[in-house]
Amino acid sequence: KGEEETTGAAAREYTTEQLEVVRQVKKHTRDYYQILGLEKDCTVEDVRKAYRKLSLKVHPDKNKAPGAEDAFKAVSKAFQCLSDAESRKRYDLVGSDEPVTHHRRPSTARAYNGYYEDDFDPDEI
Amino acid sequence: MGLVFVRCEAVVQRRGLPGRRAVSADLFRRGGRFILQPRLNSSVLGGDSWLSIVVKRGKTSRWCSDADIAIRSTTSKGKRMAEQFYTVASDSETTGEDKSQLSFPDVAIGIDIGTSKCSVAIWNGHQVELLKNTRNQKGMRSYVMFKDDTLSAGVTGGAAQESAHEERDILSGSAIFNMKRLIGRMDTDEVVQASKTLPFLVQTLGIGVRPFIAALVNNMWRSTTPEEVLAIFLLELKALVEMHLKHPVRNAVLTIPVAFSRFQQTRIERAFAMAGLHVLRLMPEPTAVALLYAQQQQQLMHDNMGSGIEKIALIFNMGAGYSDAAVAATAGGVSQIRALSGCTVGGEDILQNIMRHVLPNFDSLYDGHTVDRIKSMGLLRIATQDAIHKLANQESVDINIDLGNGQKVSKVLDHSEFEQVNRAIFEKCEKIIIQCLVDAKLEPEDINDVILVGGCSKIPRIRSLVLGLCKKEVSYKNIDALEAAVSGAAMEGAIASGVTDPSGSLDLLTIQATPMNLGIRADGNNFAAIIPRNTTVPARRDMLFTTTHDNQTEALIAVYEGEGEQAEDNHLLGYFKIAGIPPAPKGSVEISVCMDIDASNVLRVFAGVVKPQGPAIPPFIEVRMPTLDDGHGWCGQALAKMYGKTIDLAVLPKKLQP
Repeated sequence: KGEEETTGAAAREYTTEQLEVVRQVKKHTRDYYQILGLEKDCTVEDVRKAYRKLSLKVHPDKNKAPGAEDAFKAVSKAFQCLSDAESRKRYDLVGSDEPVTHHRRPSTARAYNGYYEDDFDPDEI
Repeated sequence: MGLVFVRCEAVVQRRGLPGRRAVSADLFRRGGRFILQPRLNSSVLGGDSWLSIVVKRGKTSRWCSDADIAIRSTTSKGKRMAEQFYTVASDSETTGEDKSQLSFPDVAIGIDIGTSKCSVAIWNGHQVELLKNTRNQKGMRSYVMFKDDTLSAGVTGGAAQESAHEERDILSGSAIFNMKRLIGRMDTDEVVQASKTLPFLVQTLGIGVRPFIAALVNNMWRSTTPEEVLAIFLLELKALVEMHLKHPVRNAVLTIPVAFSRFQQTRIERAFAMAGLHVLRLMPEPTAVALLYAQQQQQLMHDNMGSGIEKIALIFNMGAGYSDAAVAATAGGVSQIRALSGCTVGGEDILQNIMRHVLPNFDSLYDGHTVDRIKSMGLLRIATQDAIHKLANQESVDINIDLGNGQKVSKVLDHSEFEQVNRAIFEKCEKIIIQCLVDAKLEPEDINDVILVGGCSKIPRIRSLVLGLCKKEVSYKNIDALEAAVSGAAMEGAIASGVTDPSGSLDLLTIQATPMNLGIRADGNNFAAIIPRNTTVPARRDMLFTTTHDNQTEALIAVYEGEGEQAEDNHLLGYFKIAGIPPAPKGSVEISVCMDIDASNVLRVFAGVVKPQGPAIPPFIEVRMPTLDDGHGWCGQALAKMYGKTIDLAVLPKKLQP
């Protein structure tokens, strides 16, 4: 796939290394510290550094492997929470940065699966 | 991907003549629409009609056999044919595979379409290079001249024609400019209202539809649209780049004002598609500057002059049509946009204020758009513009013009008067900078560098205002105020196209943020922001809503963008309905609305019932936004009239996890 799509054809290649870093991030989507590869006692500066480093690896501008975009969204969410003293405190306490209703995750996550393929398929037309 | 295209073969036939021929073309898809664009080397002429298209996939070819397809086509001369709708008729012969065109490096170019000037830059393999036109200009006037049967844009400035355009010609009513201020705006918009004093015709009915725009050709007003004007301009620009690179150009990174609505973005993308360009990334102007800044900081690091500590920059950009502010945190080649803010004031407003000031009966005088009046309006405009430029370097300036018809202007304008007349504009600029600092949770002392860009950054009051707010003596020196945005765009073009540089000069990244709140109408006419402004993109956020009536089986999802607390104060992007909600007491059903912005800045909204669950629940709905094409002011009113509050939603109060 990709051969018939001339747009960004050159940009569609990725390395196994890039795929691996995406997999790593997606493995821990609920643990913000693990996403950024940090310990619980890290400093704000550590959070910022880890975010920059990881962004360069998973941001869709830098990584064309499938799932990179979702991985970056997860990394950003983790950073947003841990870079702010208040939300980090709340996260450390209740394991979540936002008040959530108890059962939303599983159902919504399942419902969205498969909706994100926006690759153009010539078969469609 | 905002706009996807595939190579295809189109079979065309000249009207009234036998014989068919195949030309290669690109088929674009945007939402549910298809747009066919002939490729550069395909000669498609005004009299041609399309017969059929075939999409190639590997070695197999597939005929298109259904659907009305909107076809926009361009001739090699840059004229656009009328849009035709057609139904694919029959199969026909095609030409063989043609892979040779894929061999060129497909690196996106950087384009900065300014309200007044435009520039284009490329990544030449080692660095960013700004291209010059045949008149040796890097900044080319943004306009299109309409003359009899010829159209020519400001890229060449008519240099290829018999005579070059002069400022007088541009202001004669025959040229359309300020496209960036007019594109995607309704006739009730104050920016459109303010454009009615321009030399060409901007006619409004004030009912929330597109304004009527026309250029004077042989003493007749010939209608056009901002998209069309922009597309013609871009065709000339594309030709300039292709002449330089010696290969076709497909992709572009475009800088846009922060204040641009998503609706305006789609219009500008459409103009690009009409010119055969795919917009790979849209970058708010100050964020393109931030990328350039990140590169310079990285360079300092390599030269052992930088510290590697995160640096905070405030970027203020003021052009002819828009002002933008951004706060970026930069380290290790990564520039993270912490806050963005923008408004629709610019040099054009300053110019109009001064024109009104020196000629108090300005508006009544230029109401009629007669040829005489257009001419004297042009004279006043040139003289005023000149005075404003001079005032940047001197204490006061004399304005002396004979406008003809016995009208004369004679005035001495000094700094304090200039500042007095434009006070409201300067206040708006202050507001967006303060907003940016507050949103980024920063004090003026936290800022390391203040970067001033855009044509209006040369105005002394603007400089002192921005530096004063940031408590700085001087601004950042190493950035060219007029070239920074386009340079950043070209750099992003290389990065997003996957170019890597062995010397490491492209190990850069800008992490973008949303400039405006995105959300839906809920709790009456309130606006519930689901993705708040300054959220890092790509992003995905969701929120729970519930019904407002017992046994409510339908719910309206009305998607808005903007800063207003009331839904109506924001831009309506689109709407859809969730049907088949199981009957239940109000407040007991849970409806999840999720918004997703991808790397290409495409917004999708997902919605569906999450409680109760079960096989009777209808599937989720996914909608790409904006879905509205025109007259969005009316749609909101029509929805309210039709449904009232019967299918409203309420925000579900958040419960803490036990």
